[in-house]
Amino acid sequence: MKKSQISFEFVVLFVFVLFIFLVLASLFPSMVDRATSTKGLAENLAQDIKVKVITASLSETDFESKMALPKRINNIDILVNITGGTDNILVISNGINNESLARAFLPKIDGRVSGNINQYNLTIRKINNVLSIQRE
Amino acid sequence: MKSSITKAKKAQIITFDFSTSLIVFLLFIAVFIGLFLLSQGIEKKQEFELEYVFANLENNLQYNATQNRDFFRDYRVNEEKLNSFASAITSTGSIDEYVVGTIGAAHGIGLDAAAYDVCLYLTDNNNQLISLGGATALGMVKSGSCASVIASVASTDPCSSYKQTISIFKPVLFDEGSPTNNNRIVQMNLVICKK
Repeated sequence: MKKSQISFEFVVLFVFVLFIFLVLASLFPSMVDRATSTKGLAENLAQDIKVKVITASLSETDFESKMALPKRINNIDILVNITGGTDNILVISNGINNESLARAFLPKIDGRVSGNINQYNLTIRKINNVLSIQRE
Repeated sequence: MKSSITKAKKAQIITFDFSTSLIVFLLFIAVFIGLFLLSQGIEKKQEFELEYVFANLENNLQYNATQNRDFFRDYRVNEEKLNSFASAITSTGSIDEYVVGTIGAAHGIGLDAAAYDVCLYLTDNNNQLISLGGATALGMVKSGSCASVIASVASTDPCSSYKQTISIFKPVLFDEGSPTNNNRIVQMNLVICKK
């Protein structure tokens, strides 16, 4: 085999692999951007819910606030899980693979967190100094 | 015979070329991903809940078991109640629960006081510390009481050995409760050290 032939094969292979690399390199940032923007939107949603719960918790009089949660963000189904009791935590996760997208610690919820995860209307109440969250 | 040896060599050379290209490719990928992730940088994010610490302090003071210690309300600080509060917390020294956590039946802002140390002090227009029941500052940090740390390292960070420091201040009306003393605007400072 001639040396020129070996070099030619190397160049062909190298160009082929470089082409694949460039394709991946162009796709990678958009994949990361998408994941980052989804997490960013989920974090904003978690923050919005938290602000309402903090406002209720700091209210000196009775307080009620309603909020409609989105079912999808960035074309991804989401699940918003709110746990009261001793945990007092809010977790937003991907509805398909359960990947955690955002979480926030909430003020002490001494009342009930009623309803189920498939209900997307939240009512945050503080009545007689008891903080509760109802899903409908 | 000669032909089969040539074919074998050719196959071997292609495999070597391919392996080399593959290794170079993988190295490129690793370097590219590494550089990309490094370029993202580490964003220092302050918990946005800390915006609510003054409201939380005011709210927690309402739930104090003993009355007459709710020194801060509606942008006003009552000196008599502040002195009462300062003498009451001297035994424990820490005011973390009041500022970051919860007192009594209060609900808090979703932060755990165990993760923070807090210093509280008041300064006047000349940036002089105002006495709080005999002390210049309330609270405890790792290296001792806030009063001693602030006195020994004046105008430096009392949270220098912590992960993060957040300084928040609010102008308040300092009500000295006496007809001979005029009310004055002072600055209420909270320094929050994240463990």
